[in-house]
Amino acid sequence: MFTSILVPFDGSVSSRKALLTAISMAKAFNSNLSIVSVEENIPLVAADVGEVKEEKQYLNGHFSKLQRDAREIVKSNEMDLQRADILTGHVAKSIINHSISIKSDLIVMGHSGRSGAWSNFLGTTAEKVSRYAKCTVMIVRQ
Amino acid sequence: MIENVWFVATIWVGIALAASLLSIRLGISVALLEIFLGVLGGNLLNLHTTPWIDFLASFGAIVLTFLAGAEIEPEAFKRNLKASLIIGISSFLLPFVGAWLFTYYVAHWEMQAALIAGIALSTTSVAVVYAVMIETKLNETDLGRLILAACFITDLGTVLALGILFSKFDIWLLVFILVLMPILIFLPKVLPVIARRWSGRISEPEIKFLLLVLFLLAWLATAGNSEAVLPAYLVGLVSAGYFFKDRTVLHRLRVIAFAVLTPFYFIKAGLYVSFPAILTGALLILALLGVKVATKFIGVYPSARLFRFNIKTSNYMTLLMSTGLTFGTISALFGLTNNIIDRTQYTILVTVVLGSAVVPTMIAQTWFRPDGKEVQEVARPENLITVGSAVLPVVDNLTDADNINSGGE
Repeated sequence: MFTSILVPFDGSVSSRKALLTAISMAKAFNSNLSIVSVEENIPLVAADVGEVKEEKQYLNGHFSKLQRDAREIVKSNEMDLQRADILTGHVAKSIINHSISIKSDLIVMGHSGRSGAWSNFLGTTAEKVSRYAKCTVMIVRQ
Repeated sequence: MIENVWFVATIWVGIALAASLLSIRLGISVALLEIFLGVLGGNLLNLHTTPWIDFLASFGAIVLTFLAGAEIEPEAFKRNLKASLIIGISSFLLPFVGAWLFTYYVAHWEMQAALIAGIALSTTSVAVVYAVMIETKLNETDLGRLILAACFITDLGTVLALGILFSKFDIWLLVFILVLMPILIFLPKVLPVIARRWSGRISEPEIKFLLLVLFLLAWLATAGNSEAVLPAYLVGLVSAGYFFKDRTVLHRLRVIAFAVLTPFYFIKAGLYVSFPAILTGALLILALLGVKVATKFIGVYPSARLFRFNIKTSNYMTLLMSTGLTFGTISALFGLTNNIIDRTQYTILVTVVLGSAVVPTMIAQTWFRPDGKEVQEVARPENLITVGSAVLPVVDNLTDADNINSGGE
């Protein structure tokens, strides 16, 4: 039914649950499984270039660790990841665009990740992805 | 109680900590939040500076300016010399002249105050431009490096104007130049020697040597009524080649600066912004923001089109080069500290600078952000031509159809 499943992974409890759900579905449908993490909080208005570079370096390390955790979860469930990507930018836009570029036909994501205080006013990433994605979106509740 | 030095330190570091935590939570720059909390502190809590806070703030501005200069990529700068010089100088000169003439003839500021306005609004925030470019990975292309090099030229124009226009042209200036020149020539050769002998020691001789150079030049510059950030930026620029290969010292210096120096600078910069002056000067603030963006458009947009960027990318580049923060506030604070501008004029300039950090960035990101496809298209080797030493894109009609950003994949 689904050939390529994409899981946005930010390390939150919600995204971990989404990953486990996606693993079950991938096994059931014999689908490919991919994960993507998006670095969002790079300061746009910074005091100097080095501040941006160092923040990016910190986020790279943080997200690499997250993805290692995700790989372990997938591996412990006797699955392989087709690909794992770390992107930079607007989270919802990046996820949607990435799902198009890797031709995934299902996005499985947590209901509430680490959108922070802004999500109370602007909506969660899951809401935005479900509204604008070109493929089916499954939102996993905690 | 109020004058107890540790009480004052507790309040200021408490504000700095709050700004750090808020910045992590909200994803907003710590510098902006420090200024904002400084504004609140100055207006609502009657927070004021002391001589030691003034020293730490000035020290922070010097180190920040040095770090800003040291981030230039020398090879990319040499490769894109001609184009970056043209775009960078236009990006400095037109806003400088525009804001100077506007505040002098329309707002009827004194000549010296109008010059400060011109300098403060001529700046481009390299950091804002760089942060935005990371998303599209534009910073890894020749186009991105060209834009960044142009931004460094703009900022060089700003610090040169700040350093030269208010100098006294006396014996101190001569001494300053006579000391500065050999330092700029020999420092790039001395730094690797110092690193070879003493790098990695806990007593940090490298950092102390750099601080010695910066303090010496700051003393001579200020003795000549110039501004300490001028030599700091120049020292940063000439050292950039060394620090490009070894970023350890820069990292350590930045940690020191962001932990204990720049918070004092940015909170102090916010402290003198007056709420009533924002209200009474609202129209002038909007007009000056308009002048800054409009003159940046006149200066940068034709150059961008001349180098065959398409309309969307040209708009994007121009808006990014309309941003400002660090050098804008440094210029305004220099004017206030030296009684060239009053608190109302300072408030107007800093508010415009803060507006220019946020408004053009938001407009650029919302309506003119080049799609990933477009950036890759511009950056493809076959789409680049060489003009003199500059590598320029030749693509003119790229699609605007796909509005979803690649997210820097």
